[in-house]
Amino acid sequence: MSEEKLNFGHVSYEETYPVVSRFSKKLKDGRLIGSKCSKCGKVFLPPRRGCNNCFSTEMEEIEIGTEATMTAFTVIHFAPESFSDKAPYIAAIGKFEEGVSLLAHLVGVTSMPSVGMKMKLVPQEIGKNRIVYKFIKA
Amino acid sequence: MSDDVVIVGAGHSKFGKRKDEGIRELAFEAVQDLLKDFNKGLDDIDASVVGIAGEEFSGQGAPAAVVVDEIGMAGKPTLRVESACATGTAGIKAAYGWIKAGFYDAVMVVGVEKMTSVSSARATELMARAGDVRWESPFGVSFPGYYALMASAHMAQYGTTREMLSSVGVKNHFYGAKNPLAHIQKEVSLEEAMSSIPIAHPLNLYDCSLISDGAAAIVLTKESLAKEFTDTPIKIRGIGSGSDNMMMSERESLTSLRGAKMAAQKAYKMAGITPDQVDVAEVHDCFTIAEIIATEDLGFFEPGEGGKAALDQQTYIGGKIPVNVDGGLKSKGHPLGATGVSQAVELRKQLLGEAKNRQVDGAEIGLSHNVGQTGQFVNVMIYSR
Repeated sequence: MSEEKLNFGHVSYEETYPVVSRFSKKLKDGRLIGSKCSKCGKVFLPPRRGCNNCFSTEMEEIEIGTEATMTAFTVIHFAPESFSDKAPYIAAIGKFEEGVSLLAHLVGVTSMPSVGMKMKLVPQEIGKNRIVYKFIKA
Repeated sequence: MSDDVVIVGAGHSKFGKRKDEGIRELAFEAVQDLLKDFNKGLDDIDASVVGIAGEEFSGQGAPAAVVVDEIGMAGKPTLRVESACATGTAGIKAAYGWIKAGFYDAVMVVGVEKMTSVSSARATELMARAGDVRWESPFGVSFPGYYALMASAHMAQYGTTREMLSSVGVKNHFYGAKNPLAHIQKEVSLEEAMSSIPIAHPLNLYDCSLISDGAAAIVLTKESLAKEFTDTPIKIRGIGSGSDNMMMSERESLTSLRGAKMAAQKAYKMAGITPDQVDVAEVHDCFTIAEIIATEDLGFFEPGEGGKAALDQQTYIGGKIPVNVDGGLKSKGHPLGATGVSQAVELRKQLLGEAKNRQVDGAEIGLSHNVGQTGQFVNVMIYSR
């Protein structure tokens, strides 16, 4: 019997594949896991099953710190149809100390954010089978 | 000497909310316009390339085939291309390759899109899916949202202001008001542009291109055969292309499109020119920040100077480099698959001196910059008399 999947994101546009489900389950435990190619050392966040640099599939798990610096943000006012009831919301890109970045919602801020602000990435469970990460102000 | 590829015919539909026309009627209108001053007939065209970015809008699966039939090219070799919003120039490049390879002597390229048959929220949804659906679209980042992220980074790094962004929209509406084929032929004041409703901060309504219906068509052949088709061929002097990472968060830069810089360098090299030799440019202003970044990536202005140059009207006719003097995607409209071909049609007009009250005097070299998604596809084309 196949393991139960843990979906990622506020909505899903594609199937939840094992590489995503594994990531989601670790996120549920509060761990942010990327992948590092055992052959060339390239680091991927979110994780990938294979390395696009040397095509090795020997990938190690690497834990990424959750403190990030904002490199870009936007406040979405006119949202895609499936997010219409959620607008306005802030989407930001945060860069982690390991040099990799993620895009996520920034929540809990009361004034306009600014590039360079310190943020922390935390998991947010949405119902039983779904999880996402979000930035909060550090 | 090598036989250049030349444009020997061009046509353009009215862009806009065309509620009585689907992709068939729009493509027909563009080809009908092309045939008006064409010395030959359809019999002399050997093959077609059809550019359509998405079938979700029109409802027709494999939509190129209905277009090919409607424009009287059924039975001849054809190919559909898709490179998101860079579909039009991808089509021109494909036809160029066919001719250079010796497959065909004359090829028609038609770019078309029907977008207004779905609601704006639906269209926003469909376009948002052109972001990474596994890791980024699940955060509801609209297409303007992705460019807004770049705008925030450009503002933080270079001090680009909201006023600079708005000034791009004001210019494009100023010229769009003079273009009878434009979707919205209306001037907009800086104050109106700056105070319009927010779409994705820092971008508001007048920073975003239009959701439009429309089509454009050109015919390409070899220079050695050009005289049979027209007395006024336009040469394709350079083509360069590039791409970028899928995820915005993996990009090496958020203030520049590396694919556009690569495409520009390759196109300039192939044409044997430098940026200062370009007389008129059509750039992919899907958003005002995109035009500012484009003018920097193309080497017209230093990185970070594009916003100031726009505010100083350096991109108007009479400025350092006239940009989008047909209204651009902002005012002329942006039917995805048609845009790159429309840029070629406009530049041909400019180079032939037929652009009337928005003519750049004595224009000899024109550049088209066409971007798909948020830089995942880029083509830069250089045309000359």
